[in-house]
Amino acid sequence: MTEQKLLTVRDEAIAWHLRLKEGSTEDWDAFMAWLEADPARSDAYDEVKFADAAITAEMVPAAAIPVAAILGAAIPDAANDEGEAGWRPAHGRWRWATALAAIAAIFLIGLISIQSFTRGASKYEVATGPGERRTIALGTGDSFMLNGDTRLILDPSDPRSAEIAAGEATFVIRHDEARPFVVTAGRHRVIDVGTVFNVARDDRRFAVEVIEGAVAYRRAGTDVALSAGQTLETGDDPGAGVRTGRRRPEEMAGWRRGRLSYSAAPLERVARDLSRTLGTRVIVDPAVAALPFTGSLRVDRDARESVDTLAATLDLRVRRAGDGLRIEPGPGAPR
Amino acid sequence: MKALFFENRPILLRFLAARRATPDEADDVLQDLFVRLETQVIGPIAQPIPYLCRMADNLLVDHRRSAAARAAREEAWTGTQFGSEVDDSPSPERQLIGREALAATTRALAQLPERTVEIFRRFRIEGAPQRQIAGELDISVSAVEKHLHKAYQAIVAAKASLDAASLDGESPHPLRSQSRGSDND
Repeated sequence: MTEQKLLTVRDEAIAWHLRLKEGSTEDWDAFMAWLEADPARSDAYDEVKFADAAITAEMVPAAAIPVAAILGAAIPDAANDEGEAGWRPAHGRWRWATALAAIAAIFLIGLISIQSFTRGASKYEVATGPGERRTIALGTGDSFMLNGDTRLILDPSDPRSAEIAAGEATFVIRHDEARPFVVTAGRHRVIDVGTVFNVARDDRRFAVEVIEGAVAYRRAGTDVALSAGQTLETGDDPGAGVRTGRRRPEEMAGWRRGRLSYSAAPLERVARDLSRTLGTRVIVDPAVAALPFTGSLRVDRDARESVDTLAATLDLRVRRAGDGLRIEPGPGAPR
Repeated sequence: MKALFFENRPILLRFLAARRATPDEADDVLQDLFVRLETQVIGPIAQPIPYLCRMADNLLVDHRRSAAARAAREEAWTGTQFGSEVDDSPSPERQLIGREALAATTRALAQLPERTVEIFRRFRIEGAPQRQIAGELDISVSAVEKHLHKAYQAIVAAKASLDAASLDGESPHPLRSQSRGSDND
């Protein structure tokens, strides 16, 4: 392939990558036809996808004054009734839509700048599917790393807060004495004092690990200070007790390094962590759900392999159950 | 969700064939896709074909990337002493490659106009749709797209030259050469 052709194909692949972010059925059909016409095209597209996937927040420094931080994320879809990408705005209808959007934007800039002091711009959600990872960086210098199956709700009008609706994330926070960063999760609040910390939430359990610096955990009637190397665990019930513990910071947020470590954790909880991290549903037979597990699991490989290792340690067996895996008492296990 | 999957299976197969997935890759992607549809029900899906194709595409890319990473790891392992304590921290060599990639991409982006980088950051890191960015900056969507296209050109070129350099013998395992078994078509 000549250099020239390579570059052309790469440009086309980039255009497809951008267009398909919000592509319609017709777009995908056209994309398949494009791929089918030349086998080299899929490779060029892979090249773009791999380069895209390797991008991390630290590669893209924030500008001195992030535009987005000023405007928030509240331009409505009014000028555009269908969720279609603006791939070729030069067509008649689109030109008008763009013009209308621009006019709408001019009005909105005025409105938002007033509103953000009163009601604030609209919140948005950042989510990962099971087994997926994602790093989000805010223009403020803070960044969040989301484990799989996690939902984080961000509010552009309040960049010093994040709400974790479900799942697990590590927060790397630039400390600001005047405006501490707050992570909320239902009734729980974690207030940073300049910090890297991990928060996990599911329907029963809320857990914090402080990797660097210090945080305060608060909810009605409770205020606990935690520093690096300390952990906190509690439940979602109003009366749930708060347990603090210690752990080596390098063992915390193990999901980011492809490894989960436990000390006498109930098997059921390990299974929930595995489901989130691996993207394969792992369920546990109630008869063995409370068995304590101590040890380290690799989670950067095949899901089955991780679950088999876990089960083998406890003398249990693993069975395929529907789309997921089920851990059950072993054939000759004492009950 | 099951019905959705089976109804659109022929399209997914066409898509995977067009993306030159090996039979193994296609199996894995379809199975992952099915599991996700079952475990992550998100209510009615307005546009099933774009939704499914996008998911299949992401899964395939993830699959190829982790296969490449695994190949790199296994190769690194055979080079080290067997039986050493399981150590997940990347080898100094791999850390170096990571740092090189980071530096190359950072450099490539730093050469772009500030506005282009800002638009790219808004799009890729913060996940804002192009339409929204256009609204915020009061420019057309096609202008936003031009900025993004330039940013991607720089990033892909940086990565390609890095991979080409490692092919010359310095650092092992360029991602792309590992991404697909050569015994399949």
